[in-house]
Formats: sequence, C-alpha cells, structure tokens
Amino acid sequence: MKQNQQTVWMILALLIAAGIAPWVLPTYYLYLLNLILINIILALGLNVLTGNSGQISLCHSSFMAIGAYTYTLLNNHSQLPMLLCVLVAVLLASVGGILVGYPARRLSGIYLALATLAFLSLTQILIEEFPDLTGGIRGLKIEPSEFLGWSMGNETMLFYIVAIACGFCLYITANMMRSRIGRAFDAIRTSPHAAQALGIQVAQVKLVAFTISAAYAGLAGALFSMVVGFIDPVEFGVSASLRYITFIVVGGMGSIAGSVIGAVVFTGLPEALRGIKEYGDLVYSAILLLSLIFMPNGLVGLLRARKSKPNASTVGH
Amino acid sequence: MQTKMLLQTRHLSLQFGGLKAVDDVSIDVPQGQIRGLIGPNGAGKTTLINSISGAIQCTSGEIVFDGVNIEKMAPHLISALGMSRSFQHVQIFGDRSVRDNVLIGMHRHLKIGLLAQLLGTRHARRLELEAKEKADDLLRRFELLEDAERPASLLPYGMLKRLDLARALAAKPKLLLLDEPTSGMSEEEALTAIRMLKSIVREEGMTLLVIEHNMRVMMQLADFISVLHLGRVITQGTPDQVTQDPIAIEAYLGEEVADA
Amino acid sequence: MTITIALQLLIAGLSVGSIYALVALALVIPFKASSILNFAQGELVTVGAYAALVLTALALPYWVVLPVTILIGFVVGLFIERAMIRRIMAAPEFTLVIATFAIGLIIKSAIRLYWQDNLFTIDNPLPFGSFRVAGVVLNPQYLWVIFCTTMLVVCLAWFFKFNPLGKAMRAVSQSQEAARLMGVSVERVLMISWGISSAIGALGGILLAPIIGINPEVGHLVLKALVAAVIGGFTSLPGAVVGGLLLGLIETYSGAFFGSTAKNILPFVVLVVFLLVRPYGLFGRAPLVRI
Repeated sequence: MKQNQQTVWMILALLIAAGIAPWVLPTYYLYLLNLILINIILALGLNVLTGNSGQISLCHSSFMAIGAYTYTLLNNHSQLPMLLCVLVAVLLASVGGILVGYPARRLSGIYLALATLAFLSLTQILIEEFPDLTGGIRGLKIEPSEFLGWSMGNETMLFYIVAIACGFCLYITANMMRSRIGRAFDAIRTSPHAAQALGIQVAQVKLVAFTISAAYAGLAGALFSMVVGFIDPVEFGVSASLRYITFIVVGGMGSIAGSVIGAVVFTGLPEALRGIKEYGDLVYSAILLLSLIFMPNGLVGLLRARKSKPNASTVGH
Repeated sequence: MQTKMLLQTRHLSLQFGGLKAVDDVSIDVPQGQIRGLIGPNGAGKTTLINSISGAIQCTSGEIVFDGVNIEKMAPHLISALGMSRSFQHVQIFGDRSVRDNVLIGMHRHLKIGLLAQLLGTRHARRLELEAKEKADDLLRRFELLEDAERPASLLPYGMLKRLDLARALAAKPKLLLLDEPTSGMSEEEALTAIRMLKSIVREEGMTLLVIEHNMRVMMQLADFISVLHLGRVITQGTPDQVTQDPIAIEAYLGEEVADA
Repeated sequence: MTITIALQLLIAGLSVGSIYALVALALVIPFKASSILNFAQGELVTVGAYAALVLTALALPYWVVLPVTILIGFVVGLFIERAMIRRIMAAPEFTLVIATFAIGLIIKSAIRLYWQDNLFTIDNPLPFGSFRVAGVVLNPQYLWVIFCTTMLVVCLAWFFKFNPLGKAMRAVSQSQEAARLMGVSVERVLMISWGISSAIGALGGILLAPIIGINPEVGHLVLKALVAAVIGGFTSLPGAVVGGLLLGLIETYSGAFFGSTAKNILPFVVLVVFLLVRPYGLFGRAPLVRI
C-alpha cells in the first residue's frame, strides 16, 4: 500500500522537523510556526462542523474566546496546574458548543447563521460588559506561570506543547473521518433525508459536530493565550470567524489537507504582506470572495482535479 | 398458522390542498412478502412510500408497522424500528467512497463509542474492520467491489442505483421500501440486480415494498402486486392475476403487457 | 415613570426603531426577490454615511446631498448584484451567506483603509435645534428620521402596488418562473431590487450620520436590523417595519428600566427565542418544501 507508506514517511519527517525546530529556527519564526499550528487546530475544528457536517457557523471565534479567557483567568487567579487549566478551557468551550448546537438542531441555512451570529454577539457583549473579569476591550494579560518546572515563557517547551496538541488534533480528526461519526457528518451534509432514512439521528450528529468543533476552538484559544501572552477581544469578532472560514474555503472544505493548507497559507500571508498590515482584512475578504466564486472546492480540490484524469460525466445526487 | 402482517395501512389518505395524492389506501403486507406497487405516473406510489417512511405526514388514516402505529413518527425513529428505503432520485453520499456509502447504511448496527472512535482504540479498529468485511461482501454481490474505494459521485447512473440498493440492504431492515430501483439501468443490469436483491431478501427474511415501472422486472420480483391509480388501490393480486385483470389493464398496463 | 419620560422614550424608541425598520426593509426586499440574505447590508449603510460625508465636504447643500447619496447607494447595489451576486445565484446557501459577509468586509476594510477609524460627522441638516412640547424634549433629528422612514414606507407601498416595475418585483418574489413566462426580465428585476435595497441602506446612513457619527463600524447595526427582520418575518415588508419599530421600542424601554447591559443583550435573546419558536416571524410564511 504505497499511500500508507508515503503517509508514514511524511509523518516521520514532520516529527523530526518538529523535534529540531526550536533549535534551528529563530524566535520569530518559531512564534509564527506556533500560530500556524494553532490555526491548523482552528481550521480542523471548523472543518468538522462546516466542511464535513455542512453547518454554517459564524461563532467559531467565540468558542476560541471561551477557551482563551477560561485558560487565562484560571492561570492568573488559581493555583491549578497548566494542563488542568487547558482541560477546563476545552470543557467550557465544549459547553458553549452544546449551548449553540442544541437549539441549532432544527435550524439550517440563514437561520442557523443568525443563531450563531447571536451567540457571537452575546459573547462579545459579555466580554465588554464585565471588564473587571475579562479586561473588557483593553484585553487581558497572561501572568507568568510554569509547567513541570519550566517557565511557560520557555519557547522550546511552548513549541512542544503546541506541536503535541496540534499533532493530537490531527490524529483524532483522522480517526474521526475514518469511522462511524465522520461518515455520519458527511452524510447529514450531503443528504439529510437519506441519512435520516438510514437511521442516523441528524439532530444528534449536528450537536456532536458543534461540540467537537467548539472543543478544538477552545483548545486553540488556550494555546493562543499561552503563545501570545495577551488576549485582545478584537480577535474574537465576526472578522475573525470569517478568517477561519477563509482557511477552510480556500484550503478545501471537509478535508484535513485543506485545513492544513488553508492555515499555513493564511498565517504566512500576513507576514508576507508585512508593512501593509492594514490591508489584512481587505485581502482576506477579497480572497474569500474570489474563492467562493471561482474555486469552491478550495486548493485541495484544485490539486485533486489536476492529479486525476478527467472522468466521464456522472450523475450524482 | 397465521402469517404476521408486518405493515398495514388503514384508510391512509394524504391531501395536498384540493388534491388527494393518496386516497383511502388500505394494504396489508405479510412478513417475508415481496410486494409490488404499480400504477401510471402520478398514481401516488412515491407519495405512499414517503408517508410510510415518515418523510411526509399523512392527513388521515393509520400506518401500523410491526405492531406499532407510526403515522405520526419522525423518519429516524421509524427507521430505528427497522425500516429502510431507497430514493427515486438517487441520494448517494457522493463525497464518500462506494464502500463508505454501504458502511453508512450499516450505521445503526455499528456500535462503537464516540471516544473510542476519536482515539482510534484497537477495539474500534477491529469493529471497523469487521464492518468493512461485511460491506465488501455486499458490494461483491452487487458487483461493486472493484469500485469500493472510488468516490461514489464518479459512478455511472446504473451503478449508483445498485449502490443505493446495497446501502439500503446494509441497514438490514425488517421492511425495505424501494422506489424504482432499476430505473436508468439497462435491461440486463436490471434483471441481474433484481436477482441479487431477491436472493438477499429471501436469505434475510426481509419484507419488500417495491415501486417499479418495468413490468418484466416486477413479474420476476414480486409475490403480490397492488395497483394504484389516482391515489386509490384499484386492484391487487399475483403478477399473473394482475396482468390479466381488466381493471388494471384499463388503467394503464397497455404497452407494458404487450412487452412482457 | 412619568408620562413625560415615557413619551420621551417613545420618541427615541420610534426613532431608533425607524432606522431598524429601514434597514430591515433593505434586507427583506432582495430576500423576497432572490431568496438571498445580504449580510453586507450594514456596510451599504456605511457607504451612504461616507458618501454623505464626501458630498458635504464638497460644500453641497443637504437637499442635494440626500438624493445623490441615495443614488450612489442605488448604483453600488446594482454593481454588487451584477458583478458578484449573479455569479453565485445557484450556489449552496453556505456560499451565499459567506459571500455577502465577505463583500461587507471588503467594503468596510476598504473604507477603513482610506478614512481610518476616525469619527466624522455631518451637521444637523435641519435649521433648528431641540425644542420642548408639553415638557417633552423633542430632537428634530429624531423626528426627521421618523419622517423620512414614513415617507419611504409610503413610497414603497405605492411603488409595489401601482408602479409596473414594483409589480414586476412582486411577481418575481412569488415565482421567478411564472414572472419569466409573463415576459418579465427576471435578471433586471433582481438587479434593481438589490439597487433599491442598497439605496435604502444609503438613506439610513445619511440619516444616522448627524446622530451617531460616521465611522467604519456604522454597519454594526445590521445585526439589530436582522433581529427586526426575523421578528417581522423575512418574507414580509410590513413585518420588517413592525419588527423594526418593536425592536426600537423594546430596546429603549428596557434600557431605561434595566440598564445598558440588558439593553444590549435583549435584542439577541429575542432573536434566539424567535428562531427557536417562530423562525418565520410574526408575519412571515414557511417556504414549501418538496421531497
């Protein structure tokens, strides 16, 4: 099985690269790599919900916010060890996912979009209305702490934490897509009627999709706080959600490769456009729009089309 | 010994505004029977299937499936009771492989915990492997095994119909509803597929309710046929009886009988 | 609560509600025609505000700036439909939703690029300031907003009932196929309905400019307009007006009674409640689904 061997070699190469990265890369590039890995986690989570399960969601950044604020507040104000802070952050973000996913069971299309928009607005308002807790629009700083005796500021250790988290997310996403729940996700997107007729409980699967994607976002949020050291609520608004949607639309919806490509390209892009940072949102949204119109299957779709020979036209569904 | 009735509709009616798509239909399908539904276009056959499967709600009447009243039940609960169906306009999961489509059909029977799936435990992998073997077995019988890994959307129409069939069978239902399973297939493909379908149905002791336009296929497949016209059941009988029944012939059989 | 304060709040609520109603109308009109919800509508309001800014800076009098701003909005709407929306008319819902968001963000960031986050304003267009009637302080700007919105509603009502183009738009809203068979150019009607909705948005922008100022985040109010449209029902024009006014009143009164946090949260709570209980709003109707 040539494909499996290729994958094994690739994973090995990545592991080695990850292993030596902190010693080889200068600080700034390591920081960038951390951001890329965090964005991969975000993209993977969003792809589960939107790419695979077909649910429109504008509040992915809100789940990230829950994770970020929970981690930071626990880190700053409690004696809980780092891993536990992260775990609670992920759990609370998942609860957020359930809060949205449960009522969203019966919603779809624009109504679903509006419900997620409502959740986003509510979290934004709550962040601003309780500045004593959240730092309001001025943001929140992460207090220094340590993990296993190493300071959390140690960039080598920070990188390994982020890399392991990302690797773990890639692993469970791959498992998901190969098993019953992953197939159910694709089924409810492609043809909810057929899925239902085959005994799949569409509402329940939607709820699971929301919860899992929120958990990913929560993890990403916690890691983001660690890496950046400061939370700015502007990171958790509609334009942030659109940015993550851009990752998967341009990278490729519903595929792990798409998530990775999208995250890599769009984390690297602002850096390539350094000096014209204000163009950030404009470039993102323009690329997003162009992709939606001209490249709906994303870069992954483009690559796949190039690879396979043109097939006889088929009648799908 | 009385044969158990697996499906019974009692005075089932479905009204769309002023139109009665299904008009006072009462049929009894005993367990293990292959029941055919024929009738001219617009006779209400698909609507009847949709009502039974729960896709649409009937306006009056009862549906009893395996002793349970299902006329007000949601589709996924009905399928949980052991009913499965195919669709007139094939609804295949195109992004997924042919094999995955069948595996999705087996969704209800695959009991693996969510956490086990996420972590890829050995237990989960083993159950997946077993499922894969069962799926491949079904694919082989429908001559789809060669394309098991291909994305389903790449299949030609005839093979898609076979996949639809295999997928519905994979759910191992007590009652299988089929809506024009051989439409779009060549005559040869159709007869082969039907032969395979019938043997699996008999092996598993399934009950079948089939809509078919192709009379040759219907003659081969069905034990008993109900003829619909304008939403009502106008006559019923064995395939031989029905093809000779003047009521049925008058309604529409016409050229089909001449062909068969 | 004295009557004076209650009346004061009423005027404020109706004024805010008028803006919501106006933008809600702008959302519902293209939705009825093309089944597309334009999440960029807020930015079209922003475009109106900045157009007014530019024109006013050219020393043009208000009675020129107002119609020209509306015209600019109209043209922008035509452009958006023709150049972008038309290409994705047949796309899945996800694409349509995200595309309109993207268009909005493009507009907003382009504006931000040129004007930064500076807060501008234009002067009160009316020659007189606040005055008192029976103890109630009346701000003429609020009254102007209510007046303009009322005029707009009257014009739209006339337009859809008597104007051939308006009637064509109603036909297209009911059934594109039937309208086409009757000889209506559906493409042209769709384009114009987007133009009209954009023009209405621009009107909202210039009406708001002297009251809340001009900055790139003006479009944020589209969220409230969306709530109003859900309350009213996306398929109902009168619903949009009622929804908008209701929301304005609910907001204003709850702000007075329960404070600013409640005032900010309430619209979205109302939104969620409606989505769960009555997604088609007070006056909307569920679409027919065929299997």
